[in-house]
Amino acid sequence: MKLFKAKKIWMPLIAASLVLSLTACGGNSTQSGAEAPDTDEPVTITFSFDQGIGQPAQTLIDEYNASQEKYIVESKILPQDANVVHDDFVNKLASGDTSVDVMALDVVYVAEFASAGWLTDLTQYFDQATQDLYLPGTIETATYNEKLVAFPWFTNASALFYRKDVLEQLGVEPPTTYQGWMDLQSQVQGVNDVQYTSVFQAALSEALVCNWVEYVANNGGEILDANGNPVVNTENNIEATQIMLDLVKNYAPEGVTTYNEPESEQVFLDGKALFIRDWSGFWSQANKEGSKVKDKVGVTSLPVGPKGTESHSTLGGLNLVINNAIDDAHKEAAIDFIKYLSSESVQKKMNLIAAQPPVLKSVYQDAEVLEANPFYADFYDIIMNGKARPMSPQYARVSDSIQRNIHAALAENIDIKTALDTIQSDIEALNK
Amino acid sequence: MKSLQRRETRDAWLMMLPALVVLLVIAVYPILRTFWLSLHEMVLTDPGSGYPFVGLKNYTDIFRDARAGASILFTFKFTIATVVLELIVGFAAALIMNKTFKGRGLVRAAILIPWAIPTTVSALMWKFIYNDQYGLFNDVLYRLGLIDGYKAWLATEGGTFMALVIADVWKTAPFMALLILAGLQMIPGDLYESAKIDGANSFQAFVKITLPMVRSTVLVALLFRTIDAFRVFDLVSVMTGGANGSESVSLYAYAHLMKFLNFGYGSAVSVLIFLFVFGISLIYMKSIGKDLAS
Amino acid sequence: MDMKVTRTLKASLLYVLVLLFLAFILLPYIWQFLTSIKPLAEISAIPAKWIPSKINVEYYFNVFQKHPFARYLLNSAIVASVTTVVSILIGASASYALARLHFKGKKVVLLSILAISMFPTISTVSPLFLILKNMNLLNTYAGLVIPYTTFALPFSIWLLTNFFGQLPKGFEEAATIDGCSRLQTFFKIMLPLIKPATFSVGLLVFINSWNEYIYSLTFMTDDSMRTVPVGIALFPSNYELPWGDMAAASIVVTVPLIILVLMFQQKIIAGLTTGGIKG
Repeated sequence: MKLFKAKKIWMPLIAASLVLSLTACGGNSTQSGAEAPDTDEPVTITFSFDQGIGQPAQTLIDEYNASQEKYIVESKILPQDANVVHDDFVNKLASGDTSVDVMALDVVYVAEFASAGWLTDLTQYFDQATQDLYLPGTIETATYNEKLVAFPWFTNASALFYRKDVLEQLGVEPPTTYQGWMDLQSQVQGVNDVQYTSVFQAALSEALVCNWVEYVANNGGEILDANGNPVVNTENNIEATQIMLDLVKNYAPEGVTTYNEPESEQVFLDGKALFIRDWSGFWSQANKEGSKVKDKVGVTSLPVGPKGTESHSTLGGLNLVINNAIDDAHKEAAIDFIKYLSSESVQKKMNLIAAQPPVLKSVYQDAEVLEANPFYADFYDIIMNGKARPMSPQYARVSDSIQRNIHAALAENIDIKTALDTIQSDIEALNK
Repeated sequence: MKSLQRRETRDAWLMMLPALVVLLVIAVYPILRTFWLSLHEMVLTDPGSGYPFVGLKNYTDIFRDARAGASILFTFKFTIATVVLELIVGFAAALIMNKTFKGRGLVRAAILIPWAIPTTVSALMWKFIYNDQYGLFNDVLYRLGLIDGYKAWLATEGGTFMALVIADVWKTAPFMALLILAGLQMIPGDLYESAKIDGANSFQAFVKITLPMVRSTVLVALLFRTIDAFRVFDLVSVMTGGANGSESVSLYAYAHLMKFLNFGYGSAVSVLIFLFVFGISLIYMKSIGKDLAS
Repeated sequence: MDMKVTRTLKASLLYVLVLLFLAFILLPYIWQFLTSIKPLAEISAIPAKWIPSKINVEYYFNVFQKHPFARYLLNSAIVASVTTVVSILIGASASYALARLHFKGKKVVLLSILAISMFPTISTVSPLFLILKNMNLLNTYAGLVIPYTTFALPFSIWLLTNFFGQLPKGFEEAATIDGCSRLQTFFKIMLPLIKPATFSVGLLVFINSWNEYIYSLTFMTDDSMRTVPVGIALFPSNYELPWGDMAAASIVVTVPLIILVLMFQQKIIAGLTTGGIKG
């Protein structure tokens, strides 16, 4: 058994790494002796992404490798857990590691990674005309300090999935306001086994932030104003949070404050809920062979509150970023690969095999795509109206404050006003 | 005589050398680094700050941090509850397994099962078990007539605490049981025989022979359980994410280190955990010390 | 009351206790096992469904066909066994010195060793990554064995020191008079005496290494080098939470450990029959 690969002597290295650890975090790490490759030899780059889209991504990589001879892409797959993926990237990038070249990064972390100096500036490789072909909301998530530091790969938006069969039986159209859905409660109980009016994600997690931000936006509220200042504890937002609390207490399963996506989906898939707020990909899951609610599901945009005029959904998705510590030859290869993943044919293919909403506008008009996702005609508007979560290098702290305070308010450990005041002052402290 | 003593000392250090080398090479650097970083202002998203040395500022900040206080309090409650229950359950299990009865071998293998399931899987499993719609926990209690309807155990503060403690005891009582059993096995059988001849009943034998003989083993097992319980992370992270007042101090350190990328403050919280555990260990050391290092 | 009735009462009380304890320990595991053979629709049926309507072994096939699970098992087995052997060997040698030899500073050594295991694991991940990277040990078995051994040592040293300390005094003198060197005394006489305890400690070290997650995830990035817990964590995707596969996998990973325990059963309980330990 080959146990040791160490070529170097230990002790000096440890001393050296002690020094290195403090300096390497600065961002402008030096190249670790990567030699310029021979022109004929293909350049090998590594692409790291999570198992969430593992299979489809691997298919695209294989096709890329087969389609040309200049570059080879190898994959490093991580578990589908946003925290695990984030931490793995941080450990590597903070130590100036060059073992990973391209990463699929959750949109909310782009600002954080860019401000740490870990991401390659892509502005010069994608001109304005090119950027205009993509959904503006997704380009926005890839931009930090007016530089394009990432490129969108696919996006995600939420929608309201409801039981078509139940509404048809009652002879009502899907309501457009939260109040409208609540009013149905007395009639839907027991119809086709429905027990709960609503189910959504209110566990202490990022999913809660996505949900809450929607109540706020759909009641005409905001988290940050146009200048980036927090406007959390407003009348609109208090009302929005009150609606959410009302749903939790009176219109959802008792355990909804412990639900992330899987638990909430289980209740809906078991036929127990009238509607679920979920990501667009849930469509294919609900209509899978063997699903209890197959062909009984309708999709509509999220409801609005009394002060809301327009429905907005939270934007999610993954952006492609390039490790700033790698050498130019690898960067060149990485950019070619990103251009491939964002090209029209690959965007379309990714949608067809993975049911992930593309970022290239033209794909939404494609006949095949529309056939596979019959709800995309309406969904395009939902995505165009989507709201990014607050962009900030300190997003993790903003999110943490929202999660803790809103969850405590929904569990009725603190009142709503206190929760929003605390979030307000937390964000104010960060902006100082 | 003197040279004999010197040789014994030399032999002792030689025999400890391999272990000490490994510990020095691998463990010392991460620990020193954590101490060192805790004296700096170091937020990775702000490389412009130059990560200045700030002395003990991170530590004085902790004292004003109500959330740190709450997480330490929770961690103490959790540690005490789980370690006490694990001691009771583990000791009882060890005494049972030390008896001869049919199927003893299988029982021994069976009780190790919880310890053998990866924590990441068992924590998910328990989350599933406590689910308010299809969870096993509700089903069992309902069938036993202890509750009149399914409950969302992880939705309340009391329920969350209980749920975490049960899951942890389930997972780690086997650890305690196996170690105490090993201690019981070390007691020479003729001690009991001579006690019997002296007319002692089994309770007296337990108090006079068993307890003193396994005392140090139990204390060492308790010490390691306490250290681990105080650093609890995976279980809480998977089952609750820190909801309903269940944020352990390790989870809080994690939030600063890996979520906020605040290496300075996060390291200070880590050092604080170290200091607490060190203090606890000193207390244990007082009672085990003379047994171990005589 | 005659003795016989009391004894029967006592015996049945013992069995009741055994059963209660087993129920607490095994119920979740049995549930997990039943989950692993249930048809998909019954896994999260509301209300909970115990007995599957038909037996479904598909998940077990999935575990090995959809993932290189056999490879994960092999990696875990190699890493955990080497860790166990190394940490018991160098741990026992240190423990012997600490428990049986006379020298100054024992308490300081013991406490310093213990201090290693007092930091939260997460704060050690990124510095260890750096060390292992510089030593070129990422994606090697040694890259996991070394940190696992390091963090297993405090535990094994403390426990083995405790068990060595329980052996009656004056044992070694006889051996020394017989002309044994210090090392011979250690290997030939002292180590065999605490064998049952060594197996218990070894078993716990083995299981700990077998289950470790965060180091393995961070230090082993090649799929061919991954261990079981990380392998299982790679099951869920956006399109499914394959609870059946995960349940099957968690049954699969416990089987080798159960076999291991049954194999060493004799060794673990050998204590009473090992002659020689007399006061």
